[in-house]
Amino acid sequence: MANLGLDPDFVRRLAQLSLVSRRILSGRMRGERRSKKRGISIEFADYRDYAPGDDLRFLDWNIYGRLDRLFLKLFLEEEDLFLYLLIDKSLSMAYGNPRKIDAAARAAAALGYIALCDLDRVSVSAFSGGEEVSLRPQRGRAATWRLFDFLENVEPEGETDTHAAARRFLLRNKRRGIVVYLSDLLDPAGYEEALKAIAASGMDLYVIHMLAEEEVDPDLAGDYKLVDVETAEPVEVTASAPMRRSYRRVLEGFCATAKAFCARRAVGYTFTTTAVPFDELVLRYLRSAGLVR
Amino acid sequence: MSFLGAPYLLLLAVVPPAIVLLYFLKLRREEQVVSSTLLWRRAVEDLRVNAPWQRLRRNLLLLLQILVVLFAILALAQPVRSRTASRGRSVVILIDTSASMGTRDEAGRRTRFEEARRRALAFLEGLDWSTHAIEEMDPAIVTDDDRERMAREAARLDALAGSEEIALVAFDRSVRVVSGFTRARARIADALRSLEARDAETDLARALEVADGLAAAKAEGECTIVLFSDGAFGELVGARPVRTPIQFYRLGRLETDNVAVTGLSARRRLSGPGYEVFCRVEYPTDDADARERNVVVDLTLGEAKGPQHTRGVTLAPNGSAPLLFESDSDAEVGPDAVEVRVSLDVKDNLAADNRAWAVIPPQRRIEVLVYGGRNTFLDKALAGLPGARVRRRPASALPGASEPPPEEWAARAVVVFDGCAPGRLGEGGGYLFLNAIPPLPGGSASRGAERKAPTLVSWDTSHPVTRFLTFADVELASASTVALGPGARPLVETEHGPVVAALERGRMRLVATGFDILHSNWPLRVSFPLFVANAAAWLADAGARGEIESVPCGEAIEVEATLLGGARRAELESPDGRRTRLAPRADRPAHFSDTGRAGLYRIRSGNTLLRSVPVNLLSPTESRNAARESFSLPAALDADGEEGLAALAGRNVEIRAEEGAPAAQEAIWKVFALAALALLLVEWFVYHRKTWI
Repeated sequence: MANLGLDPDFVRRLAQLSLVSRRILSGRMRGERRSKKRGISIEFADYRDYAPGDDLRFLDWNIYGRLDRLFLKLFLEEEDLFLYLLIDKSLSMAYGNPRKIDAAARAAAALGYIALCDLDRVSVSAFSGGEEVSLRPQRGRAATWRLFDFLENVEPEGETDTHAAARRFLLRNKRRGIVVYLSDLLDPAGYEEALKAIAASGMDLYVIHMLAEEEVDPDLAGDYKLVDVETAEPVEVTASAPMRRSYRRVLEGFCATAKAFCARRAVGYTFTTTAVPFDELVLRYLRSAGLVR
Repeated sequence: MSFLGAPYLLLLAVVPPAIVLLYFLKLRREEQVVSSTLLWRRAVEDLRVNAPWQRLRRNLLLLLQILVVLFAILALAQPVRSRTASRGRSVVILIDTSASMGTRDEAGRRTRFEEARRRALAFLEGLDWSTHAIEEMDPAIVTDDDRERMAREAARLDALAGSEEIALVAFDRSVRVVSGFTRARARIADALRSLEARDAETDLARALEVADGLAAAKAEGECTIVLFSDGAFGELVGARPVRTPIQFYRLGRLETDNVAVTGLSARRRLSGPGYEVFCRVEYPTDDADARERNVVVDLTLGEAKGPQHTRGVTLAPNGSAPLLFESDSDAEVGPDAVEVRVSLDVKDNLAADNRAWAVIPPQRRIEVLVYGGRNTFLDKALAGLPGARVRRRPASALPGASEPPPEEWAARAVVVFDGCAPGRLGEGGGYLFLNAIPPLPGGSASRGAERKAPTLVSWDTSHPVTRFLTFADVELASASTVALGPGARPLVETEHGPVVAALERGRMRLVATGFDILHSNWPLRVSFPLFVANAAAWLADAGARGEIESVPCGEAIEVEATLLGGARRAELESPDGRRTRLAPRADRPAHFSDTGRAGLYRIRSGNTLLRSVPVNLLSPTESRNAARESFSLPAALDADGEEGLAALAGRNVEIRAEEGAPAAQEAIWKVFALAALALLLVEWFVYHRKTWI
């Protein structure tokens, strides 16, 4: 069971934050966010040529008077935002002290709370290989405790299959919104296909790459048989200094590859470890990454 | 580099694999569950790709441990390396193969000779050779042809490099130059391996002479004699100065425990039936704490399985005891030759001198036929011959030149012509002409002018007829010289020529004197009856004293054509069963010199045993087998320097045994032991720093 560890003070600070989306998304209800949908808000967006059948109320008569041509005035419509929190709950997330799943759940709780406070819709999916548990879209502060309760009950199990999880998620959630994907990205089959699919679907995707401090700086010295917690595959390693250096290089390469991959597809990427306190993560990291303002 | 304790190298086959095995056991890695092995797998691959030496580095400890063990084992194997600094030097290896080298100083250990051979081989290894590895090659892989080819090539390279030349001389009673100077080390090593200790005495003086002669071919100061011996050879009598430097390596202990048979003779009784076997047992020792020893002496006659006679004898340290086995009847021995073996039932360190062999000669009756007038002295001398039957004939009974010689002159009879001569002689037989000239075909025998009171100047003491005799006290009133033609051997000579001569031609033997014994004082001298007895025995083809002489080990056995009767070939069977064909000719007896083993050498023709020749050590000096630290040689004449003066003053130089292994080698195990220790420290350091370097 994920331990959220939210204290009231932190909850209050979270409330002051509000989500910011780099894209303007469309929402089902008018919320506090501008939508890509041109609508009836007071904020002007653009003109376009009149086509038969358009609402005559939005014709710009002033321009017609000057140019003798019909233009339609377009306005931005303010809508509420969909925030999808995607949490990797494969067994590898149970690693570390504190566990990666705990840190991920806390970050998700913080983001979800902020979104709920801004009257955005929040839905949570926790997935592993074949499993997926999800929380239906919630709205309003009142849903906070449902969200927290759900996150507290997420427990790591099964292998990672990012691609299958992404497909299932996209099938069920057609509405565009912000997708925050919390994972260690340690998928033997690769995470790239999944991210590509989500990004291609028009979702505004952010990746929070969560690794345990023990993974970043493994406290190993000697001869080991390392066993993969998911696949049970062993690797024999003599953790000498050169080996540790090599691991470090590989890890850095792995993170750099993920970052570059995300940058190419306009996907937000944030690397964090379990050692980074989740409030700091939310307040500083996510702000610098443009996820919160 | 070579190893004195080479068997330890076998550990190499066991210990390092064991360490590797232990390593595998030790490398039961600690199991650790991680979130994903994805990155680790890549890290391992990355390391493999980027650092090919990483595997070695990973097993640095294993490597170090194996090195530690390697060096420790190498140190244990006592490596030695060549210390011979100057190249181009020559060495004469002189190896003692005498009986005392067969001494086993400690039960179950090597004999002195085996140790000497081992050291000589190690010495060879220590020299600078490019042929070094050739003989170590696996015979399954490298054929002898290859080996020879490689040895040739290596010898050529050695020659270019100007490396050392080695000669090998083995010596005991005889001196054998086993190999002249060569660089083909493998050949010397093979020759060394084929050598064995023999049952012969030591003649170091002659061996040194031969070695010095070999060394003389080399430039002065370029050659060294390396002598491997136990020093049990008594004083060097008649040794000549040796100019070549000698390195003497002593084998064996300074105190020993040895009982030996040092004398043995067997004969039939001179009067009547029966035999006498005389034997001498000695207990030579240099041990101050030696006590009396009880020794059981067994006598075996003929082919009997067990001993027929056994005597116990108590020997004081350095004491000796004579023993006589005798019998009054021929029941045990019969009329034929009987082989006799004496053996000591005793535990000592030298087995070779605990046995001796002899042969009791066959019963023989010498038929003596005397032509001529009465001669009291001759009659008395002939009457003293053991087992002889003397018959007289007047000179008038001699056949003329046209008549055939009588049947009774045939072989095995001795015909004495006292002042008379027949018209012709038969083809075989033994003839003694006193003051007469034999009628040899072609008139090859002649007589010189008669001289008054000639002086006897020399006599042959090696011929069976005059052996051990002296004519110094013999005076002749007058004598004529005797010339018996080609093949004749002068036995006694005056200043004018021989007055007694012997001739052996085909199956005929004859002895002729050129003076009348009654006109001399010879019959009154002891040499006369002995001369008659010897002459009768030789002419009748028997041993000089009614015994079959024992041949010293290492000396040649001479086989004369007459022994074979009509046969042209005979076989000589050595004690170890080897058979050698002999084909003596009438004018040239066959010699068999491979008499290194004591025992009975049997000469056979087909299945008939012609003669058994006993070959024995019987040497008190050899049986005194305590090793010696030094021996002395006459100082060499040196043009300038102290030694030269010493030689002029008749002084001796002492050759002392060298300390330790031959000088060509230097023990270097310490280097290996230190290296092992240093590696151990590194290993310890690495073990503790392993994960941090």
